[in-house]
Amino acid sequence: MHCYRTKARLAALSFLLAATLSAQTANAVEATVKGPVTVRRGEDLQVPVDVRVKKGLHINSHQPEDKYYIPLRITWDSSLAEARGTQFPEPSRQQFAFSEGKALSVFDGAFQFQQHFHVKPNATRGFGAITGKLTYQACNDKECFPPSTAPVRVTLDVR
Amino acid sequence: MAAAGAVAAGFTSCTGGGGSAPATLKAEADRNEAPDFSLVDAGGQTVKLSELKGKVVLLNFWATWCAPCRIEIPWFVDMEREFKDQGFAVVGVSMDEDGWEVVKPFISDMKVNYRMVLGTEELAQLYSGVQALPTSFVIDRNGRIASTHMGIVSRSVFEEEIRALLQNKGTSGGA
Repeated sequence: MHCYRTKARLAALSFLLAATLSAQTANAVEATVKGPVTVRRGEDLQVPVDVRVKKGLHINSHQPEDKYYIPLRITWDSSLAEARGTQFPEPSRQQFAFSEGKALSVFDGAFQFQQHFHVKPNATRGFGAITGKLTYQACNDKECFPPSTAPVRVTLDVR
Repeated sequence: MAAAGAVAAGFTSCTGGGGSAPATLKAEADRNEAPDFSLVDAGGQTVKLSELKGKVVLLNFWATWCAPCRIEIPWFVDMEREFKDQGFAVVGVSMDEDGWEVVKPFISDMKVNYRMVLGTEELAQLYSGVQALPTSFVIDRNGRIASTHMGIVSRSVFEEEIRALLQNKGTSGGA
């Protein structure tokens, strides 16, 4: 009987965990840029992007060690500037219960990467934005979540 | 979800004495019908779940990009080999968006010996627990879901459940 009650409690806990799962995966990653960034037309620009991975999760780095793993990547879209390269920091190498003793190349917690842009010579003066999508694939120590994207916005003040 | 493992461990710790069904299995009265589906496998053959009634089925949702899924797949290959003749079948459901282009080379590399289909969002919705991978359902001979595992669990949990269901010892509910 004691075992039955224990199981009932555990089942309830299991249900609650399932309910919180979607909350855990929603907005697993946030990417922000301080701004606005003042820049002149035709200039090169380096923008630090702050990324925060939700506690308990990790994401593959931009250079995962397996061809099937989905790397961290950023894509940009703007009429104001061209993306000219991304410098990600050194990923951490971590072992997980599921990684069979192998260290995986991941990011967790907070980190920052540098994004280079070239502001177009004919960019419209005034305030504008470069928008990006950070594509990531997150896991915890037991399971993985479908690939997702976090929006990034760089606000420019073009002079 | 580390706590989920603790939950699974908690259920296991309640397993009764020798010969009883694993406590991770639902009581027969509590089992729901596994939603039926019909999908084409890697060899072009249709897999219809309801046609597997009479067998114990391990339905595994996974993806090539899912590291913990890759630990389980060799277990399932072994289980398919070991239990197939006793009325057991593994059905893999890949949730890869890139489809067979990535799945076929992967299952060839992993020497997968069981049926594999490509999952759909509709199917994932039907199996409402599929929010993360791996997620596995162990289905009894009557086509009812006897256990659900979200995230990687130990090989022994699957093996105990399969053995019990193959022997029709799946009536434990803990009461």
